[in-house]
Order: sequence, then structure tokens, then C-alpha cells
Amino acid sequence: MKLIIKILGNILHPDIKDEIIGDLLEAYDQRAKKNKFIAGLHFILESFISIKWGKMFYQNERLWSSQNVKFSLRHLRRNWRETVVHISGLSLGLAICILLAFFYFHEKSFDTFHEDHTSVYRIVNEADQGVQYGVTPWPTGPFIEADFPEVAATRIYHTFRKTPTLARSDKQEFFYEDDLFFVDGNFFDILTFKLLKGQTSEVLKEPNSIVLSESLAQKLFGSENPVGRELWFESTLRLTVTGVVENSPPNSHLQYQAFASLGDIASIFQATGNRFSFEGWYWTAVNTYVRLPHGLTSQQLETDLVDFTQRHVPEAFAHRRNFKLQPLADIHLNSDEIEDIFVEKRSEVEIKIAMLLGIIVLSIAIINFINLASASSSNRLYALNIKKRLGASYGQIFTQMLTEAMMVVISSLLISLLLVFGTLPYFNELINVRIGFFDYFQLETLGWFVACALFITFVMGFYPASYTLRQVSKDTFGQHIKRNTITQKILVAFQLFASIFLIYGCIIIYNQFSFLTQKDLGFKNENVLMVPIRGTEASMNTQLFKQRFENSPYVTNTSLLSDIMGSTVQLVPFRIDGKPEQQNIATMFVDFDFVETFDIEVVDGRDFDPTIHSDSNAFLINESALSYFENGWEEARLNRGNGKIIGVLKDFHFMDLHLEIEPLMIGMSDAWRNYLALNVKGSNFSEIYEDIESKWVELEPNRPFDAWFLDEKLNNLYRSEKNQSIIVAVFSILSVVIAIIGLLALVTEFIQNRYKEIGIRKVLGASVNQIYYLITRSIALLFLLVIAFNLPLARLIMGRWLDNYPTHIDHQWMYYLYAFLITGLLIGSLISYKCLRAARVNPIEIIKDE
Amino acid sequence: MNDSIGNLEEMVLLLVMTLEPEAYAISLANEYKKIKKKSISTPAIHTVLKRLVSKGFLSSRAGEGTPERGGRSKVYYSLTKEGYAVIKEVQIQREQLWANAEKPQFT
Repeated sequence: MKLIIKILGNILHPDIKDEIIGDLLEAYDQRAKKNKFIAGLHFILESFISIKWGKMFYQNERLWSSQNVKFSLRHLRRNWRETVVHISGLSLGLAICILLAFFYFHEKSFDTFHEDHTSVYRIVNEADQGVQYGVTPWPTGPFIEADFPEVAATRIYHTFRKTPTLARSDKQEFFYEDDLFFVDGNFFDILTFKLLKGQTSEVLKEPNSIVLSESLAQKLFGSENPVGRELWFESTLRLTVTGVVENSPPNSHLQYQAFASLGDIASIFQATGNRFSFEGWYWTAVNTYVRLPHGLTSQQLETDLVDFTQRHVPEAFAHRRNFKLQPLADIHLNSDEIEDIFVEKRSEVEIKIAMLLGIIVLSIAIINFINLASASSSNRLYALNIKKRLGASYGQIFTQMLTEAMMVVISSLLISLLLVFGTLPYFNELINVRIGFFDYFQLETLGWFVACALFITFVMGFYPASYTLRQVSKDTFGQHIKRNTITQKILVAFQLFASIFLIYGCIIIYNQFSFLTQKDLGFKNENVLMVPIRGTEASMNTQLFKQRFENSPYVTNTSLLSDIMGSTVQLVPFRIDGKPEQQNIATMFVDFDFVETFDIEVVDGRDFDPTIHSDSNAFLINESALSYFENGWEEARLNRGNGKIIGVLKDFHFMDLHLEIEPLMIGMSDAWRNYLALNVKGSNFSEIYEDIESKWVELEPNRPFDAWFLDEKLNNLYRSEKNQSIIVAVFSILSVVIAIIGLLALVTEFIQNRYKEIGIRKVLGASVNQIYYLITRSIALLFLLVIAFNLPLARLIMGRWLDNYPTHIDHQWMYYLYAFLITGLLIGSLISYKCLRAARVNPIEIIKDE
Repeated sequence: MNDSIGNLEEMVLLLVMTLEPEAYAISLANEYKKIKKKSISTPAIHTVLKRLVSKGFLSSRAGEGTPERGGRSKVYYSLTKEGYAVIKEVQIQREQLWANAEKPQFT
């Protein structure tokens, strides 16, 4: 209420001010006897109405005229230094905020472009141990369609652990195409990507048909019409092009280059050398999407799917096939807990942090403007007072100041848009998204934009304007009035708060990132060349390939293995003696040279030995897996080939560092040889690569050589952390710079307010040190107070971010200390400089005026 | 100057006349509520009062402040000669009309 009275007092004409406020208060008083709350509401409402009519009657002059623009421009031009600081600070802040808002909305918009996307769901397969998979068994989709005729289901199959090759049928130029998906015929009815050529229901109806994306069609056939042409898939299967689909939208969780028909699964399997069965409920390999009819809710279908599992899935693993429905739009942001193969996903915490950062940066910029504008207002009191004397009303002065703020906001907005336009490509590249500048310029967003601009103008303009008006109304010709120190302190405190927080966040993110990339994984990953061999000649003839490669002067050892070390490993069910239930344990399949190639320490037992025949059924385990064998691993028997365990390896990070080290079994199997790891020596990598490639081409002429170094691949896993830390660092530094400009202005004003006091103190014999102490004391106290509040909050927020990572750095007081020291030193030195300059000034200069 | 007055304006003029010399916005609003059985907001009263002052039917003078007003002074209103004339005229016109009219027969 006090605030409203103050506002009214500032706005209303002094002739009627007392009467109106008095009457309003009295009316409130009468009503408050009955009900305080209602009286308060009445008071607020009536106050607003009073402002309106008060203006109507008591200001014959117009509140806003084009003169305002002229005056504002003149003012901004005269104080161009200040204007430049205002506009540059604000436009930087706005640009950062807009970029982050783009990012936020982009991430939120994932998969919402599909027609009626709220009725599309992905089937998630929940195993009994709470593990969720995005992949389902092959029959899930067709059986759902059979049991629930009104539900449409489609499957997406990504060639299992293998990058397939494609080539034009008339040219033998094979290339790898990883983003090729096999889908059911009704695919485009459920995920409604736009077809540029071909009919939605027709294109994938026939087996062996393929729909290319626009860019792949361009790559293969140039400007020729691709429809009707033929492609080689894996050099054995002919696929006919039946249509062209738009390039995958940037906000699709499915990033594709081509869709081929799943019509003839057997021939696809044959072409890829896949010998699994696609009829059972055991192997989970396809993503299944369903479109529900109107009137059927996902809960209803989920309940029905319980019976469905009972009906169809064999009892032995029915408990590991609990089907849940995940809304299509949730897949991108809410799949942290779900194991997937090809889904583009991001953690929601990440975008929340981005939004938080954006809001902090914008607040800093706005507060900065408020600080600077009110700090400089004393300089223009003369001008405003004269204006007032010449007959300007309070309202006119108020609107003029708001006009100024608005002009600053509008020009900053325009500049920030330019900045955004210029930096968007780099931003996209850094965080690995594809956001178009015009994606978000629809009518609705423009409306929001204007609303935000007005809001910012009001927030920014209001305080400095009303503060200046208050001074004018005190009729102080040239006399300096001290600012309301509480408000001033709160603003300074916020700036400090945000600065320390941002620097702290930066330090934590940077440390976490370097922790992830420099952590010892527990196995050798430098100089390891990985050759994908699944479904190739090499997987049939491993010994020949191994020998050929080992003949190379650059290769020291080679090992076959099923998974990429350090990224993901398949779970395999085991039945262990003494445990009632089947256990899903991460399992890799390798050959005899595995331990040697990756230089892993055997802590107990022994390595595989090629001279012992039974070792081909034996297993190695890691230390974490010891928990399964409480009675000693030596005696344990496993259901797989009656295998026994022969040794224990030291724990190593076989999964990506976003995940914890889990129990691991390492066995031998011919069916699972997906990669050949070559341990190479030498320094000229391109020479090594060429040498090995030549050996590959001799044996496998139809298949391009596509090997990569393991450490590079693993570093790519942490690319998003790296880019995140860069972005947070850049934005934080920028906003800290903005904040410091603002703080500096405040301190300058603070010192100016006490200039006379400093002069008198010096005349009376105070030393420079004493004056320095006097001025900095209150700021230092404020700083400490801010830290007391900041510390727990910063720890809490960054703690939540770190919790995303099972292996993460611990909070250390050191990090906070660094943040504190950096901010303290930066601000401290600037303030000290200003203070000392003030303290050194000859007192005569200051007090000679009086 | 526009001499005609509206319904609410007439009401307020009458209220001022009856409440004089204690006629200010809040007492007027309270009296209005008592007679009309309908409440009126403070700014609405203010609007009418200011309009009547600008038409020259009311004059105002500053009064004392009270604690519930936060010490702000009241503004009392009283009728001017023109103001009195205007409502008197309305009254006379009405009385003439009433005198000439017969009681209607309701069917």
C-alpha cells in the first residue's frame, strides 16, 4: 500500500494529490472494518482508476508527444558515452537471452511437428529390474495391431550394430549410410514426415522399396528424378526408390537419411549377415510407435498391455516385457533413464540451466541499466527542474524518461537481433543443434517479443524515472539528495550474487568436463584403431584378417570384440548358481588377445589361454561383478555353455562416463564379433591408416574401409560437455563484465555522494587509508553477506547438475573459494582504484565551492 | 459552459446540499449508499465532483486532516449560486410535469 501511495504521489498533480489519497485511505479504513483483504483490493483498483481520471482533469497538456522523442534523442546523444554503455550492455544481455531462449524453445519443440502428435506414443519396454529400453521385441507392433484393431503401430529397425552400405545399382560406389531405417508400411501415417514425392500410404507398401531424404537423393542422383531408380543395399539386396521425404527436421528425435520397407525382413537379415530370429519375444531390436484413436487414453492401453504380455510373451521372460507408453514429445527430453539406440536426446536439466542462465544474464543487464540511469540522474536534475518550472507536468517528465528507456530498449533489441543473427551458426555448431533464425518468428512469438520489450522498458524505466521525479518534486535546485540506500544495496547485492554464482558455475562445469575427458578409463585407448566388421567378410574369416593386419609393421596386437569400449555394452541374462532369478549383466564378447590389446590388469585368476580348450566357454569378470558371487567366483557355474569363471579384471569404464561402472562379464562367442581393434604404433597416423586400408581392400573390395581411433570416438561422447562448458564460460564472462560495469557506476555514484564528506574528513586530518577503509567497509560487508546467501544456493543448483553424472567431481570448498576470489579481486581492485582516487583528491578542490 | 447536468451529477449536487458543510467525497459516498442502497467507488465520486467544479456548480475548500487519512486534508464542497439554480430548475420542471400528469391506468 505504501508503494501505491508513493506511486500515486509521484504521478498525481500536487493540487489534488492529498485529497485523493486521503479519500482513498479513508474509504479503505471504512471497508477494512469488515474485511481487510477486500478493502485492499478495492484500494488497489480505485487507485488505478484515480490515476486515470486524475490525468484527465488535471493535465490539459498531452502526456506523450513527439517532442518526447526529440528530447530523448537529444539527451541520449549528449550523453553518448553513457548511451553506448547502456545499449551495449543491454544488447549483449538480450542477445544471450534470446539465444538461450531459442535453444530452450527448440528443445521443447521436439517432435511436435507431427500431425496430432499427442496421440502418438513410443512403446517402452520395462524390464523387471527397473531398466527401461526404447527397443521392443519384433512382434510387439504387429500383435498390438492384431489385438487392438483401432491402434496403428509401426516399427523402426536400425541395422543391428552395423553401418550398412548403399550404392547406385548402375555404379559400384559403395558408401556407408548409418541413418538408414527400415520401417513398416504405415510409417508415414504415424510419424508424419512430409513426402516430397510419392504417396504416404503407397511408398513403403512393397518390400524392398526405399524412400530417400532430399539430401541423399541429391547426393545419389543429383537433379535427376530418383523415383524408380534402384540401389544396392549391402551389395546383395536391390532396393527401388519409391519416394523422396523432406530432410529430417532439426527438432526430430529421429535423424534419418532414408527409410526402407520392412516388408521382407528375412532378406534384410540375410543381406546384413544377421542370423537372429525376428519372430520371438526375446530379442529387442525395434522401436515401436503407436497412434491411438481418439477416445483411447494411453493409461487404458497401458493397462490392456499387461494382459497382452501375459497372452503372448512366453512365461520365462514375460516379467521383462512390461510395455509402457511414452508420449512422442517426451522422447527427446525425458529419456534419460531409457536405453536407446538412435534417439537424439538431451537431459531436461540442461535446458533448464540454459534458461536460468538466460534469465540471470538479462536481469543483470536490466539492473545495470537501472543502476546507471539512476546514478546519472543527478546530472540532469537541473534540466528537469527547469522544465518543471517552465510548466511541464510530472507526468510529462515521467513519460519522457520512459521514452528514453524505450528507445534504449528498442535499439538494444535491434542490435541484439543482429548479434543473434550473426552468432547463431556458431552457437548451433557448439551445442550441436540446428536452429534457424526465422524458426521462431511467427506472429505469436513476435507478440511475446513486443510484450517482453514493453515489460523490460517499464521495469527499466520505472525506477530511475520515479526516483528522478522524486528529486525534482523536492524542488532541490542543484542540491544533491542521497539515493535510497536500501534499494541501491539490494541492486548491488544482486549483481554480486549473480557474478559469483556464474563464475562458480563456470568453474564447476569446466572441472567436470576436464574430469570426464582426462579420467583414466582403466584401459588403453590411445593408438587403438577400431574396424567395424559386423556382417563383412572379415567376421567370417577373422583369423585371416587378424593375421594380415598383424603382418603390418605398425600393428602390435589385434583383438576382436563385440562392443566399443567406453561407450555401451549389451545386457545379457545369466542364471547364476544360488540366485533365484535371472540377472541381466553387461557382457562383452572378445577373443584371446583382448586383455593384452587393451592392457587391462588381471587382479585375480588368469587371462584367457588359447592352449586350454575349455577357455572358449569361460568368462572373465570385473571387480564390480564379484558382488554376484558371494561364495567365491572360482566355484560358480553359469548357464551359458556351462561356463566357469577363470579370472577377475580390474574395474575399467567399459560404459560411457555418464554411467557408473557396473558388473561385467567377458566371454567368447563367434556370433558377436562386431569390431576388430588394432593396437598400432608409430606417429604418422595417416601412413598407418593407409597401410591398413590397403590390406582391407585386398580382402574386402566392395566395402569402404571405415576405421576410427578409439580415443577420438570417446572424446566425441563428451563433446556436449565441452561445448556446454564453453558456452557457459563465454556467457558468464560477458555477463560478469556487464555486471562489473554496473557496479563501477554505482561505486562512482556512491563516492560522489560522499565527496564533500571525504574532503572535510581530510581537512580534519583523516589519512588516505582511513578514508579508504570508510568507503569500502560497507561494500565489503555487503559482499560477505551475499556470499553467505549465495554459497548454499550455488551448491544446491550446481549439485543438481553434477548429479546427472554418476562419476563426477566432488564439491570442494576450493572451487567456491576461487569463484569468490576472482569476483572479489576483480571488483575489489576496481573499487579500490576509484576509492583511492577519491581519497587522494585535494580537499580544497572539493570544498572550495562553499 | 455546458449547463445541463446528468442524473448522477444531480444526485451529487443534492447530496452536497443536504450534507453541507460536511460534504466531502467519503461522506457523500456513504450518504449515496444509504439513500440509493447501492455503493459507489471513490474515484467515481471524485470524477463527478471535479466535473461539477469545472462547470462552476460546486466550490471547494480545504479542510482538516484526520489520522485515518494519513493526515491528508479533506476537501469540502459546497453549492455555488449557479449550482443551486440548476438543481432548483430541474426540481421546478419536474413538479410542473407531475402536477399536469394524471395517474396512469395500469392494465
